[in-house]
Amino acid sequence: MKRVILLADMNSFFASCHQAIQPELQNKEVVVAGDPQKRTGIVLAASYPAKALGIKTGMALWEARLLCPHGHFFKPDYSLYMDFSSRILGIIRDFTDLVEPFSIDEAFADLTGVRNLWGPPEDIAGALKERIRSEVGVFCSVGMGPNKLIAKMAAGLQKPNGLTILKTVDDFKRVFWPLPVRKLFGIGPRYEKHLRKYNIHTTGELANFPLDILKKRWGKNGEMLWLCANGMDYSPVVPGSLDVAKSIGQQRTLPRDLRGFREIQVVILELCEMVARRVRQGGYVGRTVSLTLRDTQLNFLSRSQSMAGHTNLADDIYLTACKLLQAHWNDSRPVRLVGIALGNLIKNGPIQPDIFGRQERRLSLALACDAIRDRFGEKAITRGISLTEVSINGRQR
Amino acid sequence: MKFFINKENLLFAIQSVQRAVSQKSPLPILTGIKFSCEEDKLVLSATDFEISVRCAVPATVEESGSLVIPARYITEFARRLPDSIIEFEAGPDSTMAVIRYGDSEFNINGYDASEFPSFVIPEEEFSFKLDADLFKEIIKQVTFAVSTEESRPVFTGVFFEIVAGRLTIVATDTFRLALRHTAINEETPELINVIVPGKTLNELARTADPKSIVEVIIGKTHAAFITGEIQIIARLIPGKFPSYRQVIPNQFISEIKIPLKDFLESAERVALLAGENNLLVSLYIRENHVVLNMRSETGWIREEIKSEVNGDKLEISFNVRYLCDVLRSINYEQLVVRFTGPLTPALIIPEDNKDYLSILVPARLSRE
Repeated sequence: MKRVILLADMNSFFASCHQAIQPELQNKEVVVAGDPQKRTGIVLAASYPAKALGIKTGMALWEARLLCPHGHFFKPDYSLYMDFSSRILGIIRDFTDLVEPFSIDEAFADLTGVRNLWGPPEDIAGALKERIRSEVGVFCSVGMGPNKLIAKMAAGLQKPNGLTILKTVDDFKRVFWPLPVRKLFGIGPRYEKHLRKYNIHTTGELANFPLDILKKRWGKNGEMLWLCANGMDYSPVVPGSLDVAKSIGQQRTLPRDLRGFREIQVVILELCEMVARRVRQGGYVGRTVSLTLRDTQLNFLSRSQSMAGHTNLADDIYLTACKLLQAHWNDSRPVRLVGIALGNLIKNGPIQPDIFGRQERRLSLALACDAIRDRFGEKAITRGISLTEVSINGRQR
Repeated sequence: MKFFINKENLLFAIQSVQRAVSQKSPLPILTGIKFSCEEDKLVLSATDFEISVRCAVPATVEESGSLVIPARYITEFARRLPDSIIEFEAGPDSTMAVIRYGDSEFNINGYDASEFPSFVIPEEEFSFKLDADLFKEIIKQVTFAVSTEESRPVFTGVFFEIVAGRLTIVATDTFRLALRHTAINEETPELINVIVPGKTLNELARTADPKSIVEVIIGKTHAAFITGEIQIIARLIPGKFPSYRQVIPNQFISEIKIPLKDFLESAERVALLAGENNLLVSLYIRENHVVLNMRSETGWIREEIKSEVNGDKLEISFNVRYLCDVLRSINYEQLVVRFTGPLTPALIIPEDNKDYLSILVPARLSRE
């Protein structure tokens, strides 16, 4: 039986949430951006009137202010967005239990089994859009198709407040084959450049390119792209796939550039503390540490390393992160952004205590600090190093 | 320098010293092997300052001398030489070695041997001798527990403690510990304790001829191991080894007697199911048997082993790799495993031998 998959994509989600709780901002220029004092002043979302003035996601805040001096600027409020997101998911789950959150503002739903209950797909899509608009107050673009890929691509065709249905793979080919290959899901500027060398410019050209050559050049990814270009995707809608965390991370853009391992390691340790605390709160243990660094030229470095065993302690994460830092970063390169993540997480996973009781002592220390923070707040107890000048916690005191 | 040698001897000498060659040294000369010949011997040596190895093999020497030859090339080259007499020659002021075999020759640029670090046997504080086969056995019994984590160097070594005619070697990566006693004949001074890099001992166990005798010379900062024609010098690991005696448990709630062969075979079958994120094997100690159990995404396995059980019933989980490591490293017919509780260390000893023990710390789930 042919599947009916729907993707709902909220339009300018962060900006829409602020408009929903302050209705007087409807149809006004609303911009959500980071904190300019901490240099994280980058536009995260903009309402459509703001976009019409040329404001784009990722633009520097000062630039956005020049383009739109009368705009309403907000700092991001993630708990607000999470709240909206779960209300929207609740509405989609009224139609089917097969709902897979794809990100904070997108979700897939498999409607194959409920068509007889709610009527033809376009009616379901219309009803869904209307309920999200009236009950939550945000607009969304809906795409529908025989699989997740086509649903996702269809949703991107009409923004804002769109509804696009591509009933069959042939519909997909008719719409997307003439379009530039860049429009295809999974193709970024780099693939676009590579493909151009093979004289592949449109999705249709990619779809009709010999598969074995793509496979030879890019392996699994080559085959994946070819399948996408042909509108083929067999992945199921998996409810709750976001409920289990795969990795937990923290990153910070620094108030000033840091130079030298000694300074950077202070920030790394503080981030490790935060990550480890969240890992413990979720009842996880993890094994793979990732370190992300960005310099003043915005060059990215991201490296990861697995430890021998699983952990939920900051010290273990820190030790591995420092190894990565020393192995992959030049001491004299200034650092603007630091990120730490712990991956390969397992819920209620194994912990290996040691003979000398060191691990157990460190764990009880961490749990005691957690208890103090739960009761008196995150800053009730910190490491001594957070009192130094480079600390990212100290500054917010 | 000029000498003749057969391929077998050349290859043996190269392979004996090869592991000591520095992999990435700022000093290019350390990536080479020093060849020197005198009288009727060719002596090869290599060092990365942590470990130095020297090996002597018979050769027909026409003109004594020495030269350092890049290890990467000479190792691969020697392996591919024809099975015949090989001639090495280098002029007194030249760093170019000429290697002749049959009607062909290979010329390779080397380094001036006078710049190569000298190979010095450390000044003796204490020395003793052991049969090589015994030495190999006791090393194997503990080195599996050596840590590979460079951030805590003392655990990457094996602790040697010599007191009152007895040598005790101990290794631990803090999650398991292995200990072995051996009597030594030499008169022993008050107390000797040093930490020898695990890598050196593995290298010694690999190269030593089991029929030979190993002489161990312990100095202040280095130790030397001499067996047959091979000499190994290692830099001792500075630092204090933790007091291992305190962590050997002595009060138990139950004990099993179990044949090593059955235990190892079961554990290895269970280990097949282990993945990166799933390493725990559960042991259920019942009235007259032990059950090993593991569940993973692939499937589940239950192994039942008959054994004599004294004391409480118990359920305990171990990292299955740690369990296999210890069982593979020993060779006693019957084992005794003593438990102190479900979350506290267990002791593994041979039934009729007091010279060996190992400790295994159980793992647990993060929310227990």
